Amino acid sequence: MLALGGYGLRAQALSLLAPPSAADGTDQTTSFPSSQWAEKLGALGDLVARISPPPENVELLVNNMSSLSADKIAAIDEWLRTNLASRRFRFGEAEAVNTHLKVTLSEGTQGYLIVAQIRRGKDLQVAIFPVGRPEAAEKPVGGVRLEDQLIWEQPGKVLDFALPELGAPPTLIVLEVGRIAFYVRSQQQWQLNGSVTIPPMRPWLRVPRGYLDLSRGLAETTAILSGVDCKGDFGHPETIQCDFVSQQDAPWALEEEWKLKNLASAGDAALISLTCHGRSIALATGSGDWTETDFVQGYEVGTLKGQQAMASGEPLELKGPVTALWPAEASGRARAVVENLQTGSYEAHLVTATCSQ
Amino acid sequence: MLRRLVASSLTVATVLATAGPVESARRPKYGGTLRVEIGAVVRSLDPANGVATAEEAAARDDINSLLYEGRSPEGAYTGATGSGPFRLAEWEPGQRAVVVANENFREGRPFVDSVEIQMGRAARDRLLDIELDRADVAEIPPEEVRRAAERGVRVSVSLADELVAIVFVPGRSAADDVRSREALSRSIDRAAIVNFILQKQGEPAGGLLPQWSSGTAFLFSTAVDTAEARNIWSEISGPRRIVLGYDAGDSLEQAIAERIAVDAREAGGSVTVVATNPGAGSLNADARFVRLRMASPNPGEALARCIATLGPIVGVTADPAPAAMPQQIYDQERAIVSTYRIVPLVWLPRAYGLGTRVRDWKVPATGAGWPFADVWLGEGQ
Repeated sequence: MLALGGYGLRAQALSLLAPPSAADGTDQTTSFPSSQWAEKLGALGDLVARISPPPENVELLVNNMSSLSADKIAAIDEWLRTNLASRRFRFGEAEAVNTHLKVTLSEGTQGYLIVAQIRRGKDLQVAIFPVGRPEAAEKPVGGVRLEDQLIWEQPGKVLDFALPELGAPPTLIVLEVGRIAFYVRSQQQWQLNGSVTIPPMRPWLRVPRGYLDLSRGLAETTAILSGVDCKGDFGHPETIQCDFVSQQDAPWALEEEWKLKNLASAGDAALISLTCHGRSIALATGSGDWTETDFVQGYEVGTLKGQQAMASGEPLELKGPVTALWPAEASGRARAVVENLQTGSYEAHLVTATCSQ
Repeated sequence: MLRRLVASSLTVATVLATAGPVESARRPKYGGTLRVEIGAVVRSLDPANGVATAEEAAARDDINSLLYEGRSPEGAYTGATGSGPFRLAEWEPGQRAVVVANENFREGRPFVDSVEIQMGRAARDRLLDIELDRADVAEIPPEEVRRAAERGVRVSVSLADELVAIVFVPGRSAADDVRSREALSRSIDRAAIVNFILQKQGEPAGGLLPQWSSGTAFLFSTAVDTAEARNIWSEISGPRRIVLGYDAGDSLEQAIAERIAVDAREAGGSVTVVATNPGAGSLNADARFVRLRMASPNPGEALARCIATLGPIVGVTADPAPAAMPQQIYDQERAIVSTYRIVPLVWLPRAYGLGTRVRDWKVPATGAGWPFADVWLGEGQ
């Protein structure tokens, strides 16, 4: 257990208090604590002030039992101290204080927890503040830089997803085993706006695969499943029709073929529309089986015939196997579906690759 | 066969020629029989019939999870038998079961054609059969995991999601004295149980939910407090003897019971351990062991099911809906544990030895049964 006392981080405190940006419960910026954390830490400050009205001497101890990095724990510690100081609390040694505040940053299946044990005299009060799901890990730099954005998660299997650029409101299409679901963004959340049932023309495979082909635009989109194509104007789902097709030209077979020639990987691969240093960039998953956590690695594809692609940059670590990896419509982006081994949910991630110097 | 490279709309598609199908190490194959060995003896698969031991109940749940479509939040099986990934083909009560793949399973046909389950196999024989490739999957007692791994067996260990605890039997004088119950709880060295009896598999338990699920288990002390236990016992004027019953067929329960008796004696208490036959009806003991598997990784759902099971024993009424907020969950858990009617001891993982043919084995998820529908068989070594 890591116990943090007063760090010499006063100079950082002001910037840490600046309102951070947050979306979908994940923070894409380097500012920490995020607004979600700040809200809960502020509520903790309110509670402490109610229990021990300031001015008051308080002892603060912050412990970490979560996967948060030491830097983030230090930032939280500093944020709390600054917050309590602004409420006229004074920090003192154990014998001179009236209120002992032990804050443990913990983590369960529902996300992070701020667990406060507030002891005043013989009275002990335990207060627990949930802070949503863990945030994405910080990304290292160098080579092909990968950034991850969690778009969507659900308990049921996700085969593929797409974020067509339609303007407002943003739309999300999720391809499932027996359904194409359409969501629109409203009040910071994706709301189901309709769905098309894909009839079970044959028993579903144990490992069904799917791909949303938006290369001809939304009006001529195809949802490709194992042996079934669903075509139509995806802006008008009522036009979508599903039929049997040959599986010979299934995109996953084509992906496999390209990968065998260019990448020494047993995982999935996607060639994205990005070049770094004159080389095309591909992304590929790890080679483990679907019982293991996985990663997405950037590769610079060789320009010479027969030249294998070279791994470039740091891999993007994910919390479960990548069950699908496809190039997205936008330049330098790929869609990844991850089965989160901690939660059992399927997650839709948008992976963005950029060239770093 | 012509194949295109799948690329973004901004990338020119590449046309490649190839001959023959493409094989991938990650993509599963269909076919074969999965050979499974377990220690439990399941006499009936009917959920309405009683079971003699927690081990039998757990094994029956595992087999039924193969046969039914799913389970309701209350734990009842949904769909008809055979609506799950497999259907029952052969059944020899207490000895053997064969299930075959359900071609029309809603989530897709399992990869293996069938699963043959041998029951009542001794732990030593199960391990040997895995080593000799006579079995593909075999249960391994948690305390045997280390030894199995040292012998080169591929071992799969789940999250620690099975609670071993003591419950006091209402109506018995020793059980009805809360101070006596508290003294016993404080005297137990849970870390020693994990380190020595379980060979470091599992975790000490102070609450009804593990840390990985609730995130608040650390608020429930698991530390031995011999001094306080001695104080409490010294204040009890009546008899301090507690009779602790363990399942005569469960060597783990026996080892833990004997350790608890030693701990209690060091703290000035007295625990007498007696072997019992759970199927034989009345229990002549003040306390007995319970083993509770978590029904869900979600702490609110898991606690609700735990309370539903323990409620009649510890006198707690279950809320109709699971608590959603961590504060509520913690408060409920604290209220039950502070009665000392139930004394949590350790969290156990489920462990399996895997043969060399087994591919895509997923560590059994909490609340889920055996993951046989996802397993496929490759070439052995």
